[in-house]
Order: sequence, then structure tokens, then C-alpha cells
Amino acid sequence: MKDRSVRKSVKAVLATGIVIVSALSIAALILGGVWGNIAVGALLLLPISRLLTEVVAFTKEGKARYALISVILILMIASSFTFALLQR
Amino acid sequence: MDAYHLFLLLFGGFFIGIIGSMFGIGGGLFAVPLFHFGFGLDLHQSIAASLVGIVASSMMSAMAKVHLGVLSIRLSKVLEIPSITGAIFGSLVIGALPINLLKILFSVVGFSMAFNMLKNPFKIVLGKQVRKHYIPADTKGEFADHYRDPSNGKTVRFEAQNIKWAVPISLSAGFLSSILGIGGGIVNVPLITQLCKCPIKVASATSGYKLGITACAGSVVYFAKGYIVPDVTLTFSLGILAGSYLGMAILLRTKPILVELFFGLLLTAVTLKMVLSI
Repeated sequence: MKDRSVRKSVKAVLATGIVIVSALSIAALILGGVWGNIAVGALLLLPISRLLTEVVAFTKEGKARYALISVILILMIASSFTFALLQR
Repeated sequence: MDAYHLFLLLFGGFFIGIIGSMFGIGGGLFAVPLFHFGFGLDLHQSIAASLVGIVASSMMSAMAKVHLGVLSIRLSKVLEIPSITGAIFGSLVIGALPINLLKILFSVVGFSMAFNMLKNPFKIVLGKQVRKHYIPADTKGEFADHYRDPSNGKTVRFEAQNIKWAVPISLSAGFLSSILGIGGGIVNVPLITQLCKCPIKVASATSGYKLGITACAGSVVYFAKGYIVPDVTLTFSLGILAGSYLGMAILLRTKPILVELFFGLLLTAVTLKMVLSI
């Protein structure tokens, strides 16, 4: 299996993230208010944290090409969020 | 939110999570009507909730599949940028193109992809020899990999082919999915099986892995604009998280030919819906 260390890191980050998001979602359903936006924000941070993990892991493995793709994707997501905020 | 709606959202999310995780599709096809007609959310809010659900589904199935080797991270990386770029370009030119012509084009391509997908299951029914979609390969190539298939205990070796063609087609797929409002997965899975010659399970897992990023790029825009209804979205996402985990377990234990059959039928249904809307 290729990219074993990338896979391990991605799995660890996603598993931790999913546990946190689930806990925040349940808290938001019980408490309501601002917790809802916090939980949704945490859920939307999961793909970003996955991409960041890929950047670190691919860089460690010397696969700069794939790390660069992840960096570009992070920038694309960040710029679309920023433009949407500016349009609001 | 009353108990009835809570149950409906959790169950709906659970069901869509299973389907999405099994076939590598987002599930927006089912989720948007559920929110729009079932919960009376406006279309923007429905799409926003559906996109957040896709992010949840993709992350859960990625977490469950990534260590098994059933998904190709490298192939997913190569196809992600063209797919998102196509989707962004599609959203910019929407309204300026003859939609019916694009629908006809999609219908032709969709039926041919469904035919290819259903060919092997029908050959088995007729007792004929089946030719594998994927090319068995060693693991030395850049896009070669292997995984152990729990449905038959065998190690499946594969190598993604035609990458130079897959990139522009992925761009067109992103464009089409944005223009026609169809999910990315329904185009990605046939693209990965039929053009890149990967096994159906790898196609489904890789598509699901890739979709999370595309859906996130869309969701953050809706989030920034305040279209997300947190309680509905989060309840749905909790259902999705559970369903995706189960869907992944079902996918791994199902024979590849059955996955091809069900995906082919799903693709036929989506294409028929497109034909009827012309």
C-alpha cells in the first residue's frame, strides 16, 4: 500500500475531528444558540485539517507535488470563503 | 424541532450516508428534495445543508477507508483541482449556456456509462465470460496500488491509467455537475472506472474522498452568507456520519459485480430523470 504514513496521519486527524464534531453537534442540539455555528464551523474545518495533514505528510515523504496540490486546494477554499464574506 | 422531525432527519441522513458512502456519491440528489419539500427550507438553505452533509459523509468514509488502501490518494489529488475549477467556472457561466443541449449531451454520456457499468452484471446473468474493467498491475508505477478485498479475501492490484485524459474530463465533469446540478460522484465514479481503469470499489472510495473538498469549497460560501440552518444541518450530519460508516462496511463486504450493478441502475435512474426534465 502506498503513502502509508499519509494514510495513518489522515486517519488519526479525521478520527479526532469526527469525535469533536459529533460532541459539538450534540451540544449544539441541546444548548442551541451560538453552539450551532461553532459545530458547523468545526465540521467545515475537517476537510481543511485533512488537507493540512496531507501537506505535512507528503512533504515529509518528499512528494512535494501532492503537497502543493493540497496547498492550492486550501487557498481555493480560503479565497472562496473570503470572497463570500466580502460579498455579504 | 419536534421528535418527529428529529427522527426524520436522523433517519434520512443515515440512509443517504449509506448510499453516499457505498457509491462514492454526495447524496445531494436525495438530500435537497428532503430539505426543500420535507422541511420547507428554501432552495439555498437546502443546498447548503446538503453540501455540509456531503462534507460529513466524505470525512467519515475517508476516515474508515483510508487505511485499508481501497482509495487512491494520489489519483484523488490529481483530479481535485480540475474538478473544483470546472465547478467554479460552471457557476460563473450558468444561465449563459443552452441548458437543454447540455442535458441531451449528459443523457447520451450517462446512458453509455450506465451501459458499460451494467455490461458485466448482465454477462454474468447470461453465463458469459466477464472482462475486468481494471488492469491488474504491479505496484511500482506512480498510480499503482493494491488492497485486500474482504468480500473474497483476494489482494486486488490496480494502476490508474489515462491520467492525461482524466484531468480535462474531470474539469468537464466539475463543469457539468455545477451547470446541471448533478452530484460530482455520479460522474466521477464512471470516470475513474472506465477511463482510469480502476476497480469499482477504488472508484467509489476515491470519488468520496475527493467530493468532501469540492463540497467544502461550496459550503464555506453558504456558511459565510448565512444560509446554513444549524439545527437541521447538524442533526442530518449526525445521521450521515453513522450511515457513512455502515455504508463503507457494506461496500467492503459486497461483491464488486453487485456494486457495479447497483451503481449502473442508479446512474440509469439519474440519466432518465435528466431526460424527462428536457
